[in-house]
Amino acid sequence: MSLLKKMNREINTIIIDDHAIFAEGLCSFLESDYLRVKRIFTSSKEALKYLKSTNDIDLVFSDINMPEINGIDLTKKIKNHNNKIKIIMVSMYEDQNIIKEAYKNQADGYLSKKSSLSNFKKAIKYAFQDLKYTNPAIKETYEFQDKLTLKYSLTNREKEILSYLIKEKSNIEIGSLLNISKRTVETHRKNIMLKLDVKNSIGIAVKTLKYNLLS
Amino acid sequence: MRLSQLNDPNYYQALKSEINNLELIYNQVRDLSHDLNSDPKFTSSFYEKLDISINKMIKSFSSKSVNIFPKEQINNIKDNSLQTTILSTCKELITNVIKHAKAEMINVDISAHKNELIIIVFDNGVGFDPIKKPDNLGFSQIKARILLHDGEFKIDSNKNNGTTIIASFKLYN
Repeated sequence: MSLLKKMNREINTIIIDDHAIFAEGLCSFLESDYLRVKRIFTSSKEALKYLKSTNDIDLVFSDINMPEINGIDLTKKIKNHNNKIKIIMVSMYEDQNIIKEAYKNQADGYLSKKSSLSNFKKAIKYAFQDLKYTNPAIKETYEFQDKLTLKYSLTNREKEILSYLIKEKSNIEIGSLLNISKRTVETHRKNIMLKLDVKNSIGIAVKTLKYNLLS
Repeated sequence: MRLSQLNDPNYYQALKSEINNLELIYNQVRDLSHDLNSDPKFTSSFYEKLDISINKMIKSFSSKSVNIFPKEQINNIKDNSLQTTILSTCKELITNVIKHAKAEMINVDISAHKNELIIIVFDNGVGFDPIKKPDNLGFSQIKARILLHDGEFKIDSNKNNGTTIIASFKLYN
């Protein structure tokens, strides 16, 4: 945590979470010689009012699912007011779309409520270096999910065609093997490229083998 | 139609097929009226709507699969007339398979690319010669509708080797 010590003063923080018990727990968990939790808010509206009245706060930990203003809208409002304040989302959500939305609205980090103290420390360190830290547990779930979605988004026909493409068969050859026209094979191939998110045959081959899509 | 002719097996077959057709029409009208009546407050996303209605339509097949990809891109289709066209194209293509293909297997595959949406309906039925009888299967209606959306319509069928029909629409974001 040398970087944080180099800031020469404590980091002033507030915690916003409509569940008081969680906010208080997080507070005692985070308080240390370099970090001071100035206030805890269970209302996002109150928190915003407070942030507009002071220049003391460096860092905000905010929940996402809250009545009044949700964490993502709140982030947008805080950043509009003062974009120097770092905001780390702390949420139960591990949904990729929500994480994307948070980052789109300038959040400086994203932690699942399952995160450990070391995850929190890392997120703080990253935020003050203008990097974005996402709890690795969340990331892993996504990569894993992506792999599975990839595998299950392919239809049987696409897998059939994929297995021939890997054997370097041409569209015409595949067409005659499956009794369909070349143009139909081309359309399937286009869909396969969409699903694998690749641009050409090499990309198809690499992803198919990497994720073992034909097993 | 005379009741006395009911014992004639040919007549009975014809009657049966008429009844089947009536049932199809009944179901379509019913679905259509449900679609028209759906309260926007309770309407699910377009992805769910497609998924549910297609699965409903093909439930009688012994082997079937529906593949709609990717969810977000599909839900980004907000244009009402395009939504209706996509849904009714699927309906008509599936109805054709039910009525004519004698297939056990059907696959409905909808893929949204950046600028294009592709519907593929693929069955393992009797197939037909697309040059000989393209127009008595109601394809002209589908074609007209697809052309309204700058789309394309391709039939790939061989006698006794199943049919793949590809309908595509331009997507403007």
